[in-house]
Amino acid sequence: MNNLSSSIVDLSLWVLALFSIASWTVILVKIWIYTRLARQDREFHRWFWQARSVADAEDLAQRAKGNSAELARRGFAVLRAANDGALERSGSRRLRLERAMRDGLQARQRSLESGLMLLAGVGATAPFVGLFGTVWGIMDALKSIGVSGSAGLDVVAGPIGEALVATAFGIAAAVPAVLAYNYGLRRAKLLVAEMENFATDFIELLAEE
Amino acid sequence: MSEYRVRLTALMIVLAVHAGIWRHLAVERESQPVFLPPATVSVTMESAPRPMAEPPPEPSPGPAMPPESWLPPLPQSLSSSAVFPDAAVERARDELADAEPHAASAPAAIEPPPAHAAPSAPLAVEAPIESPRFDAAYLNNPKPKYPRLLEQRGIGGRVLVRAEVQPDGRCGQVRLIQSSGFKLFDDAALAAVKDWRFVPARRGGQAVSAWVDVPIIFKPENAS
Repeated sequence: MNNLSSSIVDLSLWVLALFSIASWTVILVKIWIYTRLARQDREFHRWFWQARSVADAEDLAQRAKGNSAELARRGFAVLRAANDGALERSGSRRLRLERAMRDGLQARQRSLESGLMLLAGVGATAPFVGLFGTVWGIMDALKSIGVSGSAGLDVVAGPIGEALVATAFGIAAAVPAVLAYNYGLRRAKLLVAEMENFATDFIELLAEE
Repeated sequence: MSEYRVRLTALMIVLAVHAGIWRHLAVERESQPVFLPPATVSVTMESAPRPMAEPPPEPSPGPAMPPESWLPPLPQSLSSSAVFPDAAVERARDELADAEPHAASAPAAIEPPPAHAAPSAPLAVEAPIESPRFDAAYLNNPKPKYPRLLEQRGIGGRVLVRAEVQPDGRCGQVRLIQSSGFKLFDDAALAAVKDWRFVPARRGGQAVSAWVDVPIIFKPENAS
Protein backbone atom coordinates (compact mmCIF):
# COMPACT_ATOMS: atom_id res chain seq x y z
CA MET A 1 0.00 0.00 0.00
CA ASN A 2 2.68 2.37 1.07
CA ASN A 3 4.84 1.43 -1.87
CA LEU A 4 2.11 1.85 -4.39
CA SER A 5 0.98 5.18 -3.01
CA SER A 6 4.43 6.67 -2.85
CA SER A 7 5.10 5.42 -6.34
CA ILE A 8 1.91 7.06 -7.57
CA VAL A 9 2.80 10.33 -5.93
CA ASP A 10 6.25 10.01 -7.48
CA LEU A 11 4.73 9.18 -10.82
CA SER A 12 2.62 12.30 -10.79
CA LEU A 13 5.69 14.31 -9.88
CA TRP A 14 7.60 12.83 -12.80
CA VAL A 15 4.74 13.48 -15.19
CA LEU A 16 4.64 17.06 -14.00
CA ALA A 17 8.37 17.40 -14.51
CA LEU A 18 7.91 16.12 -18.04
CA PHE A 19 5.06 18.58 -18.62
CA SER A 20 7.12 21.41 -17.33
CA ILE A 21 10.14 20.52 -19.45
CA ALA A 22 8.02 20.18 -22.59
CA SER A 23 6.12 23.40 -22.05
CA TRP A 24 9.21 25.43 -21.24
CA THR A 25 10.97 24.09 -24.30
CA VAL A 26 8.00 25.08 -26.44
CA ILE A 27 7.91 28.49 -24.78
CA LEU A 28 11.55 29.23 -25.53
CA VAL A 29 11.38 27.92 -29.09
CA LYS A 30 8.16 29.79 -29.82
CA ILE A 31 9.50 33.06 -28.48
CA TRP A 32 12.53 32.66 -30.69
CA ILE A 33 10.49 31.75 -33.77
CA TYR A 34 7.96 34.56 -33.35
CA THR A 35 10.63 37.15 -32.80
CA ARG A 36 12.59 36.00 -35.81
CA LEU A 37 9.53 35.83 -38.08
CA ALA A 38 8.34 39.27 -37.04
CA ARG A 39 11.74 40.75 -37.87
CA GLN A 40 11.98 38.91 -41.20
CA ASP A 41 8.51 40.01 -42.25
CA ARG A 42 9.15 43.61 -41.31
CA GLU A 43 12.31 43.68 -43.39
CA PHE A 44 10.72 41.87 -46.29
CA HIS A 45 7.76 44.22 -46.43
CA ARG A 46 10.02 47.22 -46.46
CA TRP A 47 12.20 45.92 -49.29
CA PHE A 48 9.29 44.50 -51.24
CA TRP A 49 7.44 47.78 -51.45
CA GLN A 50 10.62 49.63 -52.31
CA ALA A 51 11.34 47.36 -55.26
CA ARG A 52 11.33 49.22 -58.59
CA SER A 53 9.81 46.43 -60.64
CA VAL A 54 7.89 43.20 -60.26
CA ALA A 55 10.96 41.30 -61.39
CA ASP A 56 13.03 42.90 -58.65
CA ALA A 57 10.35 42.04 -56.12
CA GLU A 58 10.27 38.45 -57.29
CA ASP A 59 14.01 38.20 -57.01
CA LEU A 60 13.77 39.56 -53.49
CA ALA A 61 11.07 37.08 -52.57
CA GLN A 62 13.22 34.19 -53.77
CA ARG A 63 16.08 35.19 -51.51
CA ALA A 64 14.22 36.45 -48.45
CA LYS A 65 13.00 34.38 -45.54
CA GLY A 66 9.87 34.57 -43.49
CA ASN A 67 6.12 34.19 -43.78
CA SER A 68 5.41 36.94 -46.27
CA ALA A 69 8.34 35.97 -48.46
CA GLU A 70 6.94 32.48 -48.70
CA LEU A 71 3.50 33.82 -49.60
CA ALA A 72 5.07 36.00 -52.26
CA ARG A 73 6.95 33.00 -53.66
CA ARG A 74 3.70 31.08 -53.91
CA GLY A 75 2.09 34.03 -55.64
CA PHE A 76 4.86 34.42 -58.18
CA ALA A 77 4.86 30.66 -58.82
CA VAL A 78 1.14 30.87 -59.64
CA LEU A 79 1.75 33.74 -62.01
CA ARG A 80 4.58 31.92 -63.76
CA ALA A 81 2.75 28.64 -64.16
CA ALA A 82 1.46 28.15 -67.69
CA ASN A 83 -2.26 27.73 -67.94
CA ASP A 84 -2.40 24.16 -69.21
CA GLY A 85 -6.08 23.75 -68.56
CA ALA A 86 -5.79 21.79 -65.34
CA LEU A 87 -8.34 22.88 -62.78
CA GLU A 88 -5.58 23.90 -60.40
CA ARG A 89 -4.37 26.46 -62.86
CA SER A 90 -7.73 27.58 -64.25
CA GLY A 91 -9.54 30.81 -63.57
CA SER A 92 -8.55 34.41 -63.61
CA ARG A 93 -5.26 35.65 -62.23
CA ARG A 94 -7.03 37.03 -59.22
CA LEU A 95 -8.77 33.75 -58.53
CA ARG A 96 -5.60 31.75 -58.79
CA LEU A 97 -3.67 34.21 -56.66
CA GLU A 98 -6.35 34.16 -54.00
CA ARG A 99 -6.33 30.42 -53.92
CA ALA A 100 -2.55 30.27 -53.53
CA MET A 101 -2.53 32.93 -50.84
CA ARG A 102 -5.27 31.24 -48.86
CA ASP A 103 -3.45 27.93 -48.96
CA GLY A 104 -0.20 29.56 -47.98
CA LEU A 105 -1.82 31.46 -45.14
CA GLN A 106 -3.42 28.37 -43.76
CA ALA A 107 -0.22 26.38 -43.89
CA ARG A 108 1.69 29.15 -42.14
CA GLN A 109 -0.99 29.59 -39.52
CA ARG A 110 -0.93 25.91 -38.74
CA SER A 111 2.80 25.89 -38.20
CA LEU A 112 2.65 29.09 -36.17
CA GLU A 113 0.11 27.62 -33.81
CA SER A 114 1.72 24.21 -33.55
CA GLY A 115 2.96 23.66 -30.06
CA LEU A 116 0.46 26.05 -28.56
CA MET A 117 -1.89 23.13 -28.13
CA LEU A 118 0.72 21.49 -25.94
CA LEU A 119 0.83 24.59 -23.76
CA ALA A 120 -2.94 24.64 -23.52
CA GLY A 121 -2.96 20.97 -22.62
CA VAL A 122 -0.34 21.35 -19.93
CA GLY A 123 -2.06 24.40 -18.54
CA ALA A 124 -5.35 22.57 -18.30
CA THR A 125 -4.18 19.21 -16.99
CA ALA A 126 -1.10 19.85 -14.85
CA PRO A 127 -3.09 21.04 -11.82
CA PHE A 128 -5.19 17.91 -12.00
CA VAL A 129 -2.22 15.64 -12.26
CA GLY A 130 -0.79 17.33 -9.18
CA LEU A 131 -4.11 17.09 -7.42
CA PHE A 132 -4.29 13.43 -8.24
CA GLY A 133 -0.91 12.82 -6.62
CA THR A 134 -1.95 14.80 -3.57
CA VAL A 135 -5.28 13.08 -3.19
CA TRP A 136 -3.60 9.73 -3.44
CA GLY A 137 -1.02 10.72 -0.84
CA ILE A 138 -3.66 11.99 1.55
CA MET A 139 -5.77 8.93 1.00
CA ASP A 140 -2.84 6.77 1.98
CA ALA A 141 -2.05 8.92 4.98
CA LEU A 142 -5.61 8.60 6.22
CA LYS A 143 -5.53 4.86 5.65
CA SER A 144 -2.37 4.46 7.68
CA ILE A 145 -3.87 6.60 10.42
CA GLY A 146 -6.85 4.30 10.40
CA VAL A 147 -4.59 1.30 10.71
CA SER A 148 -2.39 2.69 13.45
CA GLY A 149 -5.36 4.17 15.27
CA SER A 150 -3.44 7.22 16.40
CA ALA A 151 -4.33 10.58 14.95
CA GLY A 152 -1.66 12.80 16.38
CA LEU A 153 -0.78 15.89 14.41
CA ASP A 154 2.59 14.36 13.63
CA VAL A 155 1.02 11.32 12.04
CA VAL A 156 -1.39 13.36 9.94
CA ALA A 157 0.63 16.41 9.04
CA GLY A 158 3.79 14.81 7.69
CA PRO A 159 2.36 12.66 4.90
CA ILE A 160 -0.23 15.25 3.93
CA GLY A 161 2.37 17.96 3.77
CA GLU A 162 4.45 15.72 1.56
CA ALA A 163 1.51 14.93 -0.66
CA LEU A 164 0.71 18.60 -1.13
CA VAL A 165 4.03 19.02 -2.91
CA ALA A 166 2.42 17.42 -5.95
CA THR A 167 -0.28 20.10 -6.11
CA ALA A 168 2.32 22.81 -5.78
CA PHE A 169 4.29 21.36 -8.68
CA GLY A 170 1.15 21.01 -10.76
CA ILE A 171 0.35 24.68 -10.33
CA ALA A 172 3.95 25.63 -10.92
CA ALA A 173 3.86 23.78 -14.23
CA ALA A 174 0.45 25.10 -15.28
CA VAL A 175 0.82 28.81 -14.65
CA PRO A 176 3.63 29.52 -17.12
CA ALA A 177 2.00 27.26 -19.67
CA VAL A 178 -1.30 29.14 -19.54
CA LEU A 179 0.40 32.53 -19.67
CA ALA A 180 2.58 31.43 -22.57
CA TYR A 181 -0.41 29.99 -24.39
CA ASN A 182 -2.26 33.29 -24.32
CA TYR A 183 0.85 35.18 -25.28
CA GLY A 184 1.69 32.80 -28.09
CA LEU A 185 -1.84 32.86 -29.45
CA ARG A 186 -1.73 36.63 -29.60
CA ARG A 187 1.66 36.72 -31.29
CA ALA A 188 0.50 34.15 -33.83
CA LYS A 189 -2.64 36.17 -34.54
CA LEU A 190 -0.63 39.32 -35.09
CA LEU A 191 1.72 37.53 -37.47
CA VAL A 192 -1.19 36.05 -39.39
CA ALA A 193 -2.89 39.43 -39.60
CA GLU A 194 0.25 40.91 -41.10
CA MET A 195 0.43 38.10 -43.61
CA GLU A 196 -3.19 38.65 -44.54
CA ASN A 197 -2.54 42.32 -45.13
CA PHE A 198 0.39 41.51 -47.29
CA ALA A 199 -1.55 38.87 -49.21
CA THR A 200 -4.39 41.28 -49.94
CA ASP A 201 -2.00 43.95 -51.13
CA PHE A 202 -0.10 41.41 -53.18
CA ILE A 203 -3.27 40.24 -54.92
CA GLU A 204 -4.40 43.80 -55.61
CA LEU A 205 -0.99 44.61 -57.01
CA LEU A 206 -0.66 41.69 -59.37
CA ALA A 207 -4.21 40.55 -60.15
CA GLU A 208 -4.65 43.06 -62.97
CA GLU A 209 -2.21 43.02 -65.84
CA MET B 1 18.30 23.32 -39.96
CA SER B 2 19.07 26.09 -37.55
CA GLU B 3 15.61 25.72 -36.12
CA TYR B 4 16.42 22.22 -34.95
CA ARG B 5 19.50 23.55 -33.30
CA VAL B 6 17.44 26.16 -31.53
CA ARG B 7 15.01 23.51 -30.37
CA LEU B 8 17.83 21.38 -29.06
CA THR B 9 19.42 24.30 -27.30
CA ALA B 10 16.13 25.29 -25.73
CA LEU B 11 15.57 21.74 -24.56
CA MET B 12 19.03 21.58 -23.05
CA ILE B 13 18.58 24.87 -21.23
CA VAL B 14 15.20 23.81 -19.89
CA LEU B 15 16.53 20.43 -18.81
CA ALA B 16 19.45 22.02 -17.03
CA VAL B 17 17.24 24.48 -15.19
CA HIS B 18 14.81 21.77 -14.17
CA ALA B 19 17.58 19.51 -13.01
CA GLY B 20 18.98 22.36 -10.97
CA ILE B 21 15.66 23.12 -9.33
CA TRP B 22 14.98 19.45 -8.72
CA ARG B 23 18.33 18.96 -7.09
CA HIS B 24 17.93 22.01 -4.97
CA LEU B 25 14.56 20.84 -3.72
CA ALA B 26 15.79 17.32 -3.16
CA VAL B 27 18.76 18.53 -1.17
CA GLU B 28 16.56 20.71 0.94
CA ARG B 29 14.20 17.90 1.63
CA GLU B 30 16.71 15.25 2.46
CA SER B 31 19.47 17.13 4.14
CA GLN B 32 17.49 17.87 7.22
CA PRO B 33 19.53 16.45 10.00
CA VAL B 34 18.16 13.64 12.00
CA PHE B 35 17.97 14.72 15.52
CA LEU B 36 17.06 12.61 18.39
CA PRO B 37 13.38 11.88 18.36
CA PRO B 38 11.29 11.45 21.48
CA ALA B 39 12.38 7.86 21.73
CA THR B 40 15.60 9.13 23.20
CA VAL B 41 13.93 11.40 25.65
CA SER B 42 15.85 9.34 28.14
CA VAL B 43 18.41 12.07 27.88
CA THR B 44 16.07 14.68 29.18
CA MET B 45 16.09 13.05 32.58
CA GLU B 46 19.26 14.97 32.98
CA SER B 47 17.22 18.09 32.90
CA ALA B 48 16.64 17.20 36.51
CA PRO B 49 14.72 20.39 36.84
CA ARG B 50 16.79 22.64 38.96
CA PRO B 51 15.15 25.30 40.98
CA MET B 52 14.46 28.22 38.72
CA ALA B 53 16.67 31.25 38.54
CA GLU B 54 19.62 29.14 39.43
CA PRO B 55 22.37 29.20 36.86
CA PRO B 56 23.17 25.93 35.20
CA PRO B 57 25.81 24.01 36.99
CA GLU B 58 27.82 23.55 33.88
CA PRO B 59 30.22 26.46 34.23
CA SER B 60 31.01 25.60 37.82
CA PRO B 61 29.97 22.05 38.42
CA GLY B 62 29.46 22.61 42.08
CA PRO B 63 26.47 21.05 43.78
CA ALA B 64 24.83 19.49 40.80
CA MET B 65 26.26 16.75 38.73
CA PRO B 66 29.13 17.57 36.43
CA PRO B 67 28.46 17.27 32.72
CA GLU B 68 30.24 13.96 32.66
CA SER B 69 27.67 12.50 34.93
CA TRP B 70 25.17 12.10 32.21
CA LEU B 71 27.60 10.56 29.82
CA PRO B 72 26.73 6.97 30.68
CA PRO B 73 23.37 6.97 28.91
CA LEU B 74 25.02 8.37 25.82
CA PRO B 75 26.10 5.10 24.33
CA GLN B 76 22.55 3.95 24.63
CA SER B 77 21.05 6.91 22.89
CA LEU B 78 23.82 7.02 20.35
CA SER B 79 23.40 3.42 19.45
CA SER B 80 19.69 3.90 19.09
CA SER B 81 20.33 6.69 16.67
CA ALA B 82 22.95 4.73 14.85
CA VAL B 83 20.46 2.08 13.96
CA PHE B 84 18.43 4.86 12.57
CA PRO B 85 19.07 5.26 8.87
CA ASP B 86 18.22 8.82 8.26
CA ALA B 87 16.02 8.15 5.32
CA ALA B 88 13.88 5.99 7.52
CA VAL B 89 11.71 8.77 8.71
CA GLU B 90 8.93 6.30 8.84
CA ARG B 91 10.65 4.33 11.51
CA ALA B 92 11.15 7.43 13.51
CA ARG B 93 7.49 8.08 13.12
CA ASP B 94 6.68 4.60 14.25
CA GLU B 95 8.82 4.94 17.29
CA LEU B 96 7.19 8.20 17.99
CA ALA B 97 3.81 6.65 17.69
CA ASP B 98 4.89 3.88 20.00
CA ALA B 99 6.25 6.29 22.49
CA GLU B 100 3.09 8.35 22.52
CA PRO B 101 0.85 6.01 24.49
CA HIS B 102 3.43 5.57 27.20
CA ALA B 103 3.86 9.24 27.56
CA ALA B 104 0.15 9.69 27.69
CA SER B 105 -0.43 7.02 30.27
CA ALA B 106 2.26 8.24 32.61
CA PRO B 107 3.12 11.78 31.76
CA ALA B 108 5.07 12.44 34.89
CA ALA B 109 6.89 9.17 34.92
CA ILE B 110 9.94 9.95 32.92
CA GLU B 111 12.20 7.74 34.85
CA PRO B 112 15.78 8.67 35.14
CA PRO B 113 18.03 5.81 34.18
CA PRO B 114 19.76 4.10 37.03
CA ALA B 115 22.93 6.06 36.53
CA HIS B 116 21.07 9.19 37.55
CA ALA B 117 18.78 7.88 40.10
CA ALA B 118 21.11 8.91 42.84
CA PRO B 119 21.68 12.56 41.97
CA SER B 120 18.19 13.41 40.92
CA ALA B 121 16.31 11.46 43.52
CA PRO B 122 16.63 13.92 46.38
CA LEU B 123 15.29 16.67 44.20
CA ALA B 124 12.48 14.69 42.78
CA VAL B 125 11.14 13.27 45.96
CA GLU B 126 9.88 16.30 47.78
CA ALA B 127 8.22 17.87 44.75
CA PRO B 128 7.10 15.84 41.78
CA ILE B 129 8.55 17.88 38.98
CA GLU B 130 7.70 17.18 35.43
CA SER B 131 10.68 18.07 33.36
CA PRO B 132 10.33 20.31 30.36
CA ARG B 133 9.82 18.71 26.99
CA PHE B 134 10.91 19.74 23.56
CA ASP B 135 9.71 16.77 21.60
CA ALA B 136 5.95 17.15 21.58
CA ALA B 137 4.88 17.14 17.97
CA TYR B 138 2.63 20.14 18.24
CA LEU B 139 5.54 22.31 19.24
CA ASN B 140 6.59 22.15 15.64
CA ASN B 141 10.20 22.71 16.48
CA PRO B 142 12.20 23.09 13.28
CA LYS B 143 15.23 20.94 12.79
CA PRO B 144 18.54 22.70 12.83
CA LYS B 145 19.94 23.68 9.48
CA TYR B 146 22.61 21.30 8.35
CA PRO B 147 25.72 23.37 7.60
CA ARG B 148 26.17 22.94 3.88
CA LEU B 149 29.93 22.80 4.04
CA LEU B 150 29.92 19.87 6.43
CA GLU B 151 27.03 18.23 4.68
CA GLN B 152 28.90 18.19 1.42
CA ARG B 153 31.80 16.41 3.04
CA GLY B 154 29.55 13.91 4.74
CA ILE B 155 30.59 15.00 8.18
CA GLY B 156 28.28 14.38 11.07
CA GLY B 157 28.42 15.27 14.70
CA ARG B 158 26.65 15.41 18.00
CA VAL B 159 25.98 18.53 19.96
CA LEU B 160 24.53 18.72 23.41
CA VAL B 161 22.76 21.94 24.16
CA ARG B 162 21.45 22.92 27.53
CA ALA B 163 18.50 25.25 27.29
CA GLU B 164 16.67 27.24 29.90
CA VAL B 165 12.98 26.69 29.51
CA GLN B 166 10.97 29.55 30.87
CA PRO B 167 7.50 29.04 32.30
CA ASP B 168 5.93 30.36 29.11
CA GLY B 169 7.67 27.66 27.07
CA ARG B 170 10.15 29.97 25.45
CA CYS B 171 13.81 29.35 25.53
CA GLY B 172 15.86 31.59 27.74
CA GLN B 173 19.57 31.03 27.64
CA VAL B 174 21.25 28.28 25.72
CA ARG B 175 24.62 26.79 26.54
CA LEU B 176 26.83 24.48 24.70
CA ILE B 177 27.42 21.51 26.93
CA GLN B 178 29.19 19.24 24.56
CA SER B 179 30.67 20.47 21.33
CA SER B 180 30.69 18.40 18.20
CA GLY B 181 34.13 19.67 17.41
CA PHE B 182 32.76 21.79 14.60
CA LYS B 183 31.77 25.33 15.26
CA LEU B 184 29.26 25.18 12.42
CA PHE B 185 27.37 22.34 14.07
CA ASP B 186 27.50 23.99 17.45
CA ASP B 187 26.21 27.28 16.10
CA ALA B 188 23.47 25.64 14.06
CA ALA B 189 22.29 23.64 17.04
CA LEU B 190 22.37 26.62 19.39
CA ALA B 191 20.53 28.80 16.91
CA ALA B 192 17.88 26.18 16.33
CA VAL B 193 17.27 25.41 19.99
CA LYS B 194 17.15 29.09 20.83
CA ASP B 195 14.01 29.42 18.71
CA TRP B 196 12.32 26.33 19.96
CA ARG B 197 9.19 26.17 22.04
CA PHE B 198 9.04 23.83 24.96
CA VAL B 199 6.53 22.34 27.24
CA PRO B 200 7.57 24.05 30.45
CA ALA B 201 8.51 22.09 33.50
CA ARG B 202 5.80 21.81 36.09
CA ARG B 203 5.94 21.57 39.77
CA GLY B 204 2.58 20.46 40.98
CA GLY B 205 0.69 21.89 38.06
CA GLN B 206 2.49 25.21 38.01
CA ALA B 207 4.87 26.01 35.19
CA VAL B 208 8.33 26.76 36.41
CA SER B 209 11.50 27.51 34.61
CA ALA B 210 14.02 24.73 34.32
CA TRP B 211 16.96 23.55 32.32
CA VAL B 212 16.84 20.79 29.82
CA ASP B 213 19.52 19.09 27.80
CA VAL B 214 18.80 18.72 24.13
CA PRO B 215 20.95 16.31 22.18
CA ILE B 216 21.18 17.10 18.51
CA ILE B 217 22.71 14.69 16.11
CA PHE B 218 23.78 15.70 12.66
CA LYS B 219 24.01 12.76 10.42
CA PRO B 220 25.09 13.10 6.80
CA GLU B 221 22.67 11.50 4.42
CA ASN B 222 25.22 9.40 2.60
CA ALA B 223 26.38 7.76 5.77
CA SER B 224 24.84 4.34 5.96
